[in-house]
Amino acid sequence: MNILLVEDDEMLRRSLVFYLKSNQFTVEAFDNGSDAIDFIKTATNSIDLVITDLNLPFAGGKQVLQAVKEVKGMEIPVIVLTSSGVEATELEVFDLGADEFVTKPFSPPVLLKRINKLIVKQ
Amino acid sequence: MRYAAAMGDPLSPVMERLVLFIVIATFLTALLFFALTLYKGIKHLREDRKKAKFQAALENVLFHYLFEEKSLEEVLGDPIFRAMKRDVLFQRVAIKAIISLHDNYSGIYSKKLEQFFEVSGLVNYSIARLESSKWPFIVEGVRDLSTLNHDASYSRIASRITHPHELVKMEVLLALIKMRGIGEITKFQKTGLLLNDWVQSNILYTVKKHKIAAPANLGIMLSSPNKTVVLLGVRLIRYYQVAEHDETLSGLISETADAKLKREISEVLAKNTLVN
Amino acid sequence: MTGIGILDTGIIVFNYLILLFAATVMLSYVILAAISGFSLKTYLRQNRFVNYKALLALDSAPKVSLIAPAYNEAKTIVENVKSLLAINYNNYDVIVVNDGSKDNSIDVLTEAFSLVPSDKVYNPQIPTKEVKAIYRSSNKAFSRLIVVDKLNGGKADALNTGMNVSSNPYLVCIDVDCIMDKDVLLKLAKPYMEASGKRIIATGGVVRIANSCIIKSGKLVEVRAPGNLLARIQVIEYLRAFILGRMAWSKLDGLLIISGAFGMFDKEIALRCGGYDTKTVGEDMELIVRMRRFMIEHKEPYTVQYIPDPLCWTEAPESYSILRKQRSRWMRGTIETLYTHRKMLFNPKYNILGMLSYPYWLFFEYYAPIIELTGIVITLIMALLGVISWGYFFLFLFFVYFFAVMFSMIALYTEEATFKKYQSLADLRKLAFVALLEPIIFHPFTVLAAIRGNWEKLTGNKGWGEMTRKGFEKPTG
Repeated sequence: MNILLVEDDEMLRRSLVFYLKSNQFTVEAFDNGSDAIDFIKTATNSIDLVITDLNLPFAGGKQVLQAVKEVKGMEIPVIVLTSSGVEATELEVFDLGADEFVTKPFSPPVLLKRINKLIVKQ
Repeated sequence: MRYAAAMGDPLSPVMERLVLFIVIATFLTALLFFALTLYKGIKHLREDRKKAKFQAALENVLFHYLFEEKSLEEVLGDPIFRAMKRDVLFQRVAIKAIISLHDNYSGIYSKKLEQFFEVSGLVNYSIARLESSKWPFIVEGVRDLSTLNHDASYSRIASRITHPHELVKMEVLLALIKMRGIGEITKFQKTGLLLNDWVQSNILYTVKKHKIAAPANLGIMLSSPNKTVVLLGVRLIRYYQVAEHDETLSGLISETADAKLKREISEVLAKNTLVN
Repeated sequence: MTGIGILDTGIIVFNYLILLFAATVMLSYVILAAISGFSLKTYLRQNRFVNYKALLALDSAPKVSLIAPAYNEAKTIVENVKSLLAINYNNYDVIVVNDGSKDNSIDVLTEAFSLVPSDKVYNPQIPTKEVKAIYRSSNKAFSRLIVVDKLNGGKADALNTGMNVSSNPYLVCIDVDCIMDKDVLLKLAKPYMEASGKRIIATGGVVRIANSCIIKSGKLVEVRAPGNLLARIQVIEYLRAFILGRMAWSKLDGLLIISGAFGMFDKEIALRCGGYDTKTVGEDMELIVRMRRFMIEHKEPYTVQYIPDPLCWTEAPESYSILRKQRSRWMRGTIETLYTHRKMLFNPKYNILGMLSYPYWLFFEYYAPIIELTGIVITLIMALLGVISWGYFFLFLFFVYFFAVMFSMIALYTEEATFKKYQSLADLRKLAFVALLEPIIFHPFTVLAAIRGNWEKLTGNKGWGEMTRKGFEKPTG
């Protein structure tokens, strides 16, 4: 299972990489939207699931979402991480095609459950 | 400016020596600042390297503790961790990292982080800051202790309410709201803290971020003689989406002459009608 | 001496006047630097713990329009607009004004952002050149974008068009190719939320030089000292101006100019005093002076705030010919602004603005190059006549040189002690090195360019001195 993680908060990104790896996932992590989008375009086949923060430098999470949804021939599920209350964008995120969202702060096992749910769907 | 050199008649040797002295002094000052710049640069680079080293060591300890069920005693007993712990820079880096994780994780994970903060002794760094006489340190202490829910410090934080510096007052207000709820705001009536839009946005940020529950007496704020308190009340009502004050709000809108207040109330009313 | 009585006296009097002028300039530099250093320290202490993100929690945070005029920028425009759309702020929109570009800017934008005609009706509160169409994006990810297509009318006219289109109370006018800090709007908007009593009519930010910096998708990744010598010298020049100059003027509340590139304005005031002046090449400077004058003349209490954090990064000219055009344009802008508002000179009604800022700009910005040139000419004449005391000549020459170097070093040190954007020692050394060259090769050049600006103003050459941009190199891969 290959997960693409896009999150600019350094501690969160590093800890999630650690957590996901210790749960037997392979993780590719980026701290900004534009690098992630480049990766999506070049390495499409090696991504099974995308987890992205909404508020990212360079290119926002919305643009990442869009890049994923534009990939032809396959549906890569996307989980969006949002900050609670501060951004009133949950509805918007579904509009843009997110499959799930997790509100920060969250409990890592909850994220794990969402990941598994989406993978089973696939 | 170069033309200034074109002074006509020769001046006395004293004058000449004076000018020479000024030239040398200027040159030396330039050199001094160049040296200082390099010194600062080297210092910053060293500090960055040290920080990176601390960060890596800390992550190693923290992640195993958080995600791999290692006990607190086990990770704190780590000799590398114990050696580093005495360094003030390490304490700063560690508290920052813990807070950053605490911001993002909930449930037992945030509780575990709070425990780590306390048991590891890092809390003493923050308490020392809170007790400092310098206002920026107090702000730092108040923020770190309240963010990591150090309840034992509540009364010490609350006692800083009388501090003359505006930024300390605001930080204390935010900390108290976070620890005990919005009701704490009444304690600030006599402190002279201005509830301008900036302070209000910080209050709302705290309320939203930490999901502070709506107080029972939100309506009281609406009857305050202070317009800014009324405005904050309106904004909180908007956030909590409570419809029970709609009538009071409708009354307010016709009474007040304040355009900003009028606009925000009508926005709340419009939103509430939509919701219900 | 020449032996001709009147001429001798004249030369001596003139020499002393020039000495006095030079001493005043230098003294004012030192005083301004001291004030700047002190207020910078205070600012940083006050802002160390500010959580700018808190601003995002307030639904009614100041609503801002970013206005970016574009003329023939098809090459880089998509990337630049995308980076403007990724700015961290809730209440803002981006208004790109295509000022009759001759290239395919509009097609490129339409393609990249799925533009469709907007139902917005153009309501020109300030008269402008004809607006052909207003577009919005049909893609939700770009909902903040508005694109205006108009007939060519110059930068000021494009900015006025943007101002007319905007429905927000605050404006940030920028060059479309500026690299903005992600938190730029949070930082510029915060003072408006703290205002009590005095109305804030503008907040101004700092411009820094982006040459050789690592840029990705229109965002700054790493700051580096420019490889090009000319650009690197301009880094020193900008550091001196922004770190050691503007901060002090702001402290004195006499900030005449909100930097060339950007600042946040109160739209209502800008509209009430008629928007940007399309007849000057220094429209940004002129508007802020006019707004301040307007407030004073209407007896409304106001203030202008300066945000010293580096928020906007721009490409500096790397060739002498473009630099000369830029500087001569700046000089013409200064002359035009000073002339339009000449009433303010030593007029106590305008407080510090009339008594200190205006005279300072007049004497030290406008007259300085002219006086300097005159000095050089006189020195030459005296050298030809053989009446120079060479010992003094070289002593003073060294003094002036070391003073300039010292001042650059202080600026560099202040930068390293505060924002520390240049992270390698090699970069610091490189910058220190050009500080040694600046008084020899750069300063004389800017003096000549300024003289040329005067000349062009006199002869009525109103050419724009179009700045050809090479565009930031796109990242590979």
